[in-house]
Amino acid sequence: MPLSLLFVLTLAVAALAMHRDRRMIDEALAHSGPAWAQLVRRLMPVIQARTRRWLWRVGGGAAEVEDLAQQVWLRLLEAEGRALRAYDPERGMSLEGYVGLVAEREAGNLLAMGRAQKRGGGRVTAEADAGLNTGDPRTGPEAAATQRNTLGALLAHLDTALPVRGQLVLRLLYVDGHAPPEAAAALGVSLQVVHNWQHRIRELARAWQQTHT
Amino acid sequence: MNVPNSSPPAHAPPPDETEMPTTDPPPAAGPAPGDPEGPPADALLRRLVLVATPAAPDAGPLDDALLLRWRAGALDADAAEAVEARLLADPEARALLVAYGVPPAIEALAAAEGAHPGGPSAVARAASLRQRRWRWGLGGAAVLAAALAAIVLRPYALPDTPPPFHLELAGGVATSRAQVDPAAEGLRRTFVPTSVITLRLAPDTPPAGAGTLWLPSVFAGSPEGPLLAVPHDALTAGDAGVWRLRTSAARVFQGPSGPRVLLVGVAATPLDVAGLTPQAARAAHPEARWFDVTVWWQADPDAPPRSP
Repeated sequence: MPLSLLFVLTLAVAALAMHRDRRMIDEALAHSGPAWAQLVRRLMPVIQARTRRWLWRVGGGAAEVEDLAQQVWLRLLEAEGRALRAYDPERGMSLEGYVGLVAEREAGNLLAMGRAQKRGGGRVTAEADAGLNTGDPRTGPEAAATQRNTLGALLAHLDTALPVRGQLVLRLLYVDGHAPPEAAAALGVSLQVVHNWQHRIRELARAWQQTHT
Repeated sequence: MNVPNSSPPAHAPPPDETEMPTTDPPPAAGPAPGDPEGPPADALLRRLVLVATPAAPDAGPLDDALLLRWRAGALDADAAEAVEARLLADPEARALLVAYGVPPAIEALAAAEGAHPGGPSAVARAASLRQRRWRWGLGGAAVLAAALAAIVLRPYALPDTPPPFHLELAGGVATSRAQVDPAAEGLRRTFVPTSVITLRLAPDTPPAGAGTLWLPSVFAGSPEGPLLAVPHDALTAGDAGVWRLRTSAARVFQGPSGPRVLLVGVAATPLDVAGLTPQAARAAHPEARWFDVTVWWQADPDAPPRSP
């Protein structure tokens, strides 16, 4: 009984917050200065993060992020904020989540349009997998499959040995290829924490390597 | 309100140092020196990129608000666990997390806050970000270039200016002996031929190290000129940039009794203003730092008191 009450209470608080967001949008678009500033402070970081991620995918630069984020922001405000007004809290998504999705869609559209204008074609080609150089006889299909198996076993071993945070650092550093400062900023921790995890991951990998070679 | 930032949020739970062994030796921050591949384990770990898995197609969008609250440590354990599971499985979610790690562009934030919707200013201000960045960039570059040019060209455009010095005069004869009243003349001292003139010229701040050697050039003459150079052998250099002049008044002052100006110019090179008036001397070398003191020259010590 108390659990269900807590659940209902949580839902009520969430619903209240979402309706507050809806009201904030209306007030901001109705020229309320404080509501507008609040909206910008909440949504601009979301738009920037989403456009940044999109640009990373296609190899865009840091300066492009600002421009693209600005264009996305304008898209959201077009036609008296039609896209923003379309936010419906009843659908269960937060305002940030909704704007994030819209931002990503718009960023994709804008980038495709921009590149189509520049190149005469809007298709963005994916880069070949740099790790699988089929021209090298040492990395033929069989060798690649063996390597994948080995690496998969290592990853499974590390996932078993590490807690969630360690697994996350492992993926950020070695699977996604981010630098330790980027991983630290992403997780909101100090660089030393990431280095500690890196040290532990290396030790585990070294130990695993010794038993498997 | 959740505003992502690269610094750890103040209200976030302490990072996972508690999960980490505290007895570890200091971790290496990167590849070992001279080993481009780093430790062998690192080389192996870097190949994990080959087993990166794409996100599951049915994963659905990751809610930014959840991610931001997870970063801020504001989620309960179950919700945090769900976000972490998503992050572990979904490289796109991790990319978004990394994107949130980059601080938001303050300029865009400020421009957006200033640009209210509804009016043309919103579009104008927002759309002019690039042009404004260019303008700021060009303006900044111009200022930087001017500063660099000033630094580089300064020695050619303006000779070195000496630092502040102060001049002290000593010597002369007692007023009673010369039977004059220097105060009535506005003069500090009276010199007779047997008097010894002592000047001490010292920088206000002792030089910090080896730098330009500032040389004094001393001249004497009547206030209307012409000036005569005081022999350099009367000058001696002391410590900390101090110069002393000690010589007999008879070597410095000539002619009948009257007011005399002792003019000292400090510059990087010796000055030659002999034959000029004190004003012309100053005008001829504005780069030098000039000092003067006016005294009374009494050619005959036994002469009656000078007239006021």
